[in-house]
Amino acid sequence: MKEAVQAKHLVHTYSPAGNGRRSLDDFSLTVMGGEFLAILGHNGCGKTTLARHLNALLAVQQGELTVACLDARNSANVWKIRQRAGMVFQNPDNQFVSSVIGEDLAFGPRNFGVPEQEIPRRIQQALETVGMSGYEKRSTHLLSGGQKQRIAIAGVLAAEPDILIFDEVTSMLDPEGRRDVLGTIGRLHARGRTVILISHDIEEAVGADRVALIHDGRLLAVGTPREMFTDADLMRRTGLTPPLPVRVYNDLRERGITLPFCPLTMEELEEALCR
Amino acid sequence: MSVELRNVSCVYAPGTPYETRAVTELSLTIRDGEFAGVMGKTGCGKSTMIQLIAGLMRPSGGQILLDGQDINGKNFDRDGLRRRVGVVFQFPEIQLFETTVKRDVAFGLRHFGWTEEEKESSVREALERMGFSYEAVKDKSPLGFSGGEKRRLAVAGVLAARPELLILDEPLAGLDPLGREALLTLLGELNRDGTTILMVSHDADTLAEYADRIILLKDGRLFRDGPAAEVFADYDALKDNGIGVCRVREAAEALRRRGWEIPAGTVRYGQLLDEIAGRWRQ
Amino acid sequence: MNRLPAGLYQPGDSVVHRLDAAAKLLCLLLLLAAVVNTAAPAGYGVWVLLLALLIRLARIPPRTALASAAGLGWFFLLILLMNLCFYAPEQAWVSVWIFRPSSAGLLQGLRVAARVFLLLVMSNVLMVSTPPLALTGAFERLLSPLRFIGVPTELAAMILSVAIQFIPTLLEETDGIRKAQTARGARFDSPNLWEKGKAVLPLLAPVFVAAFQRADELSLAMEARGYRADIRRGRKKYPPFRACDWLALSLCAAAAVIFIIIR
Repeated sequence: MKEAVQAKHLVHTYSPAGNGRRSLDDFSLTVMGGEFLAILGHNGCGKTTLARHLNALLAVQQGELTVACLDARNSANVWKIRQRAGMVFQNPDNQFVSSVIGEDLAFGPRNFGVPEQEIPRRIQQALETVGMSGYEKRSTHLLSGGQKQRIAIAGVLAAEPDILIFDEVTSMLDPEGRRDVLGTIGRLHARGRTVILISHDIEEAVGADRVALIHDGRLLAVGTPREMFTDADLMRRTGLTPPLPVRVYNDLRERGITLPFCPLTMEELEEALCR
Repeated sequence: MSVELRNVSCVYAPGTPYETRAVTELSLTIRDGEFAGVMGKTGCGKSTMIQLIAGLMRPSGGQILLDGQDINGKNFDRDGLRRRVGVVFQFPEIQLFETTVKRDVAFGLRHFGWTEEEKESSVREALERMGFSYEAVKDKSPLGFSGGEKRRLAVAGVLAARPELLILDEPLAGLDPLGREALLTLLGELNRDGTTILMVSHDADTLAEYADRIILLKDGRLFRDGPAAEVFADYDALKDNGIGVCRVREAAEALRRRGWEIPAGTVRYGQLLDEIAGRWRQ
Repeated sequence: MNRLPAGLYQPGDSVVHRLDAAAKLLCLLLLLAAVVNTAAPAGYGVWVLLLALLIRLARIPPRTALASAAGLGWFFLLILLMNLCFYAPEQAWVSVWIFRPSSAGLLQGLRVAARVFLLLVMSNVLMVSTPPLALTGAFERLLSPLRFIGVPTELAAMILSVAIQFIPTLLEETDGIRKAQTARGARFDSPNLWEKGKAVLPLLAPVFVAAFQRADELSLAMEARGYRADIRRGRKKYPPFRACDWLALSLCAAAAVIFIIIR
């Protein structure tokens, strides 16, 4: 499989003189096509800056970046990159351009020059993918937070991108909305899309193929969720609390009880304890 | 400060197609000094309940008593209510607007007739309560802080009035683990020093860990009320009603189904660990 | 505080609800033209009757229909007093300092107040009986001929659409901030106008800051979805007016013509 994203030695700073704090500092990472990568770190660690690079919302200042095999340093590629890599933002209320759902979903395809007669099919398909078929004529205002966020996802899907970037998309939702949205993201990955999920909620990353830990603009480590979450030292350095099963495993070990393996999910915890 | 709701109902937009009963015949008591958690699905009436208690909405029926006095009664001191009850709304940091932290935190004190010294000492205490050094932050712009810090500044603005009851609506939403931890620790200390706390949250694990008791609302009515161990014990009833249970309780339930003798009231992490370690040794 | 804001759409299936939004908007413009051209006091009597008929036809509770004007009693009083004291100084009964009250002024005051009242209530009937989405569409439709004289109507429609989509969110946010500040002792509900005015300023600051932040985020989201102001988009098709729409328009046009002629 091809690389979906390849970042090499990215550096980014928001201060104009270029001498301020670096939001990204010598940041290198490769995301494979079809992969589900979770990027974790606490607020202000550089996650969002990275996300905005992947969608060409921020220009590369230093280093190299290719997205969907397109060089992000070439400004002629900006529109193509935005079409291939779609981004969903944190606040569902700040992403809609129309209060009619169908109108909003047509926004992306129209921008990317999709023929007008093709758009209704795109809209239907996008709504079906997020489990909200038949909502074309409804208003965005009467939806729950989770539904709004799924419509925002559909709005991005209507442009048919290969790569989907989710920037803290669940942090403003209630547990039900969070479950819905995470379920949708999981389905998109299962259908072959490259998913990059940015979060500070570690539980959301348990199902990812790989997890990248960011701290102070640097990539601290990248590996499978198990490798990352069971490394107590790494967890401490990133200021993250491991998932409950991992905490149980670690704390039991401190009390002199060693489980046969380190569980990540509830089911695994059950298995580890009851074997 | 004690809070008592007596048969409180609240209808929104009566007489229009939007008419909704936000709260129906709600009766409950929160004792002075308690840390009470409020849970329920979106739209269950949580927000209405806290606005009723804070006197920001009037009930369509029933009474709300603070320290035994009806807040909608004729002779009730509404200005006093504003001082004695502090409310931290969702994402309170969007209200920060003054040029300096000191002015922002002091915003609510203008109508109390306090002297400058009283105001200053209150602002200082509120900021220190929220983990800031008064001298270091007082002249800074509140907009220059990080997300978690802004949240604590906004809470300090509410604490400056020295409320006896502090109501918080989803105070942890959007905070990262470090920000949550910091705020929760400070709220715990505040409660230990005598402030009654009423906290609305979706985070069952946090409430199980910190709150003395859980008030669970469903469709505007009281669904469950009691200590977390009691409320979360009834696992199936909560699941059937689509109410999230804490992760610790889920783990306990999984093990109970495997035949482990773990009490149904296992809701705190330390408890779970003790139970598991105890069984394992046997 | 448990009431809805004035002008919020309330679903229904009255004749007025079923009219095409663009036709309704045109009718409102015609009626307003007629109102502004009404001079005789008797004319306003006719208007009050017509308004009552309109509210009846729309099957909107009178209280809801009048809500937009209800809170503005002091504003009407101000209009009345200003006109009374300054409109016709040469015909004044007495002269106290700069105040020159006259009967012509009183009449003019009543006239202006009545116009403002009719304008507010009629617009409110339109808003209450028309879904906001249909209203945006109607604006777009009525503006679209302007593209022939080089007005960027698509851009205007885009801006309008985004603005309308934002209004409920901003209202909610304003209400939230107002409540939070009330809880912190701000006195929005004070009967004292000075206190009330003082309370509004600290409300505006965070409301604006929040609105700009939202706008900023939205512009990012729009960019991410490939927005460019320079590309052409497909043109929308609008359904033609039906018989009832034409009938309503003719009636309103007739009213406008009659009132303008008889003045």
